[in-house]
Amino acid sequence: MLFNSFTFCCIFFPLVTALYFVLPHRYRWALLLVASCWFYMAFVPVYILILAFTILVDYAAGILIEDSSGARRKAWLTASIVANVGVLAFFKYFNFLNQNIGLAVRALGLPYEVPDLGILLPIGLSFHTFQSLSYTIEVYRGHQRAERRPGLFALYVMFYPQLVAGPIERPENLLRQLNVPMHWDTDRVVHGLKQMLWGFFKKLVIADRCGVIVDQVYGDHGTYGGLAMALATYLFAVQIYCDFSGYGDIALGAARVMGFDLMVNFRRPYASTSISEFWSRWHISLSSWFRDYLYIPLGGNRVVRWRWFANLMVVFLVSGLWHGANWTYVVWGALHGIYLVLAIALAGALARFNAITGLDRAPALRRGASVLITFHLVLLAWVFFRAATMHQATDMLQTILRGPWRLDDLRALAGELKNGQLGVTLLAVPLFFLLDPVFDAVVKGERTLRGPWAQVSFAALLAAIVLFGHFGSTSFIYFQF
Amino acid sequence: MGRFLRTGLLFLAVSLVVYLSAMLVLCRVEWGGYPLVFRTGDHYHLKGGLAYTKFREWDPGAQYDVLVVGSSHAYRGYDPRLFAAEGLSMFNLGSSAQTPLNTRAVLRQYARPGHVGLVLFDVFEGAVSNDGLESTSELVMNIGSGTAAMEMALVQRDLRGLNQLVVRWMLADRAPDVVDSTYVSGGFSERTDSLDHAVEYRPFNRSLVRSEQLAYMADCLALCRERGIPVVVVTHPQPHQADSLGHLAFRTIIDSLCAPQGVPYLDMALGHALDDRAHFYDHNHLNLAGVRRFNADLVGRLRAAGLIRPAVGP
Repeated sequence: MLFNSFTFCCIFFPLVTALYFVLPHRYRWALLLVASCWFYMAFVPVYILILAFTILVDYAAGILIEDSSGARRKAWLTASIVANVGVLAFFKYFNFLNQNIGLAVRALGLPYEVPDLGILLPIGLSFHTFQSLSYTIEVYRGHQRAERRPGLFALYVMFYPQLVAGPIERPENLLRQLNVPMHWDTDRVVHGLKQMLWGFFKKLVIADRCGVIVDQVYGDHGTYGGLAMALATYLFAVQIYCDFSGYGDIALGAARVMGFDLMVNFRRPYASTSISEFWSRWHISLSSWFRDYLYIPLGGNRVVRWRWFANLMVVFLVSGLWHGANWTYVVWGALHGIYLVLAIALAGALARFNAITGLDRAPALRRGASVLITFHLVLLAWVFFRAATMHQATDMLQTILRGPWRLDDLRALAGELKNGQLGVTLLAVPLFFLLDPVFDAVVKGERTLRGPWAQVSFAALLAAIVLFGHFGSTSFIYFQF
Repeated sequence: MGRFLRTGLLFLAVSLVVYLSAMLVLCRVEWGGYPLVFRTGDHYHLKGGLAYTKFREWDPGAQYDVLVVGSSHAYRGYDPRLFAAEGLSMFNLGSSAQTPLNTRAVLRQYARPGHVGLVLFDVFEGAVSNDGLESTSELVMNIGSGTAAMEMALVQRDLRGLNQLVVRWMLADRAPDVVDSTYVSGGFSERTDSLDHAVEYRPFNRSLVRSEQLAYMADCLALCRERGIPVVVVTHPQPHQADSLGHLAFRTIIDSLCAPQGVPYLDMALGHALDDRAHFYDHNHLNLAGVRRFNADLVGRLRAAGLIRPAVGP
């Protein structure tokens, strides 16, 4: 079920929330579990069996790990990891591996006849697999008691607000809260609804409007010149941020209404002054997952320099693959890995450059330049993330860099989109970046609006959604992962 | 809870004021000859055109032997002049991309017992595979009946329909922005050109058929039955190169809707003698030459079935 659907907004969410507060605490887990099943089965119902398999395996693994010791303990953890990664590998990577092995074998002149299985990727598979894995790992590490109630554990994996696109929760945060009786709190409910409203604004007014232009140019890239492609790439950066963080705000808001505090997943990432800072602000639940369960176990930065660099590259290559079974995602991940390695390797030279040019005595200028450079490095990587193939990505980058840059492209694009949609989007995007620092801080509880502005600002958001929203139940980008 | 309700109501009231103020500005300020609101999305429909003209021409006091409803197949495929030549008064309330959702609202307000002798409900694959928003936008803006406009805007369950309804109210005093030069009195749109280039004939995709549109269609048939107005479902000729196998699957669906209600279904899509180029002006719309042949055939069949009065002799 999409958050931006009539069913969710007008039936599912009000009904589930009302029932949640009507029911006594001891029955609420059952309500939320049934609601989460309904939510998930609105996509492809049969795929709930995959989720059930993951839940059963990890529920059993958690108890077996806790009840055993030594090598057996490790064996149960390994079994859980193999089962989870196996499901992920089969559904997400089988066709990708099959195609690439086929290419390699045929290049050697040998026959290769393994057909593609035509598997449809279960929605949100990478998210709930990682969430479930974090539970067994934490139990193994002794940081988390095994959950003995299967229903509660199933709810931890399936909690509907964050089931299909995160944030990827940790058991010590979500599982703990599922045991706590929540009470109606008007201020908290209003705060949650405001956060949802901000999320809907980002998704419907900004992301989906940008998406129309991005899809037009990326879907027909041979027609357009460098200017249109550069514009589409800038707008994709806006689209993916507003789409994903918009989803996050709706998820956090919906959970907050019921009393749950989910992990913050975004902290205005395009204001980052370095790639390393970007990854502490973008998809925080995934980057911290990789940090805790891959980077640090590999040795992190407490190893010799080349191993440190290798660890960074491994983490970002895996992160690229986590997003999708396509070389474009691998290159996207590799680029971020390379950025980080270069930032570390060149840190000394950069400090000397700042001292020589006097930039270290002009912090505002240095910060502005850093934000601009970081954003454009991220933007370069987004081309690979958005392009359908490597060929398209390189083709588009060449056109952006070499041209031709034609104003006529923008006129043609405006004509294709009709009714001034391009103009409205180009006005809305800068306005959004002016509003984002204020609303983002308000919905995170870091700032409070006072007086009539507090009421009018969110009312204006609702009016803007109704007036300018791009309706039609467009899916969220991260659902495909 | 009381505080929550008070806060919520206040919030909704403030939102409504902000929304209406913004909409007023967007409807009153013009850019390039049109109100600004039409520059904010591709779903808004301008005032005027074929639908606007025909719903203003409709005479609520008149008696029509035949009322035609449906999508562009309807308003481009049933010519009131040809029916008049057969001694039948006919009015065509077909409109662009009209789906059963929209047809139901049109029938409720315009198919009055005693004023309409027979309803011809044209239906084809596209009409039941569409969410209806395109037609809702056009009709909400241009239909004569405010009640029908409101019904469509609400039933559509899409905020774009409600926005269009507000635009209708705010531009009520505005003259039409567009005129359809192909309009013929009685609700018909005339095309005399023929298909002169290769076109792509898309196969019928069963999975795209929307169950809610089939339900609205069943409602339309039941409504006519309740009002004692005979109704005939018709599918007009489709080009020979179109997907005939797919059409047979579509026919099964429509048969299953019509048969239980005892409604005749005249499927004239296949087995006709029309030429894909000479009698069509695009991939599925008849031109005037095609309409002449089709209407003559249709009237003959309706007469043979006793659904319209016999021809008066010379």
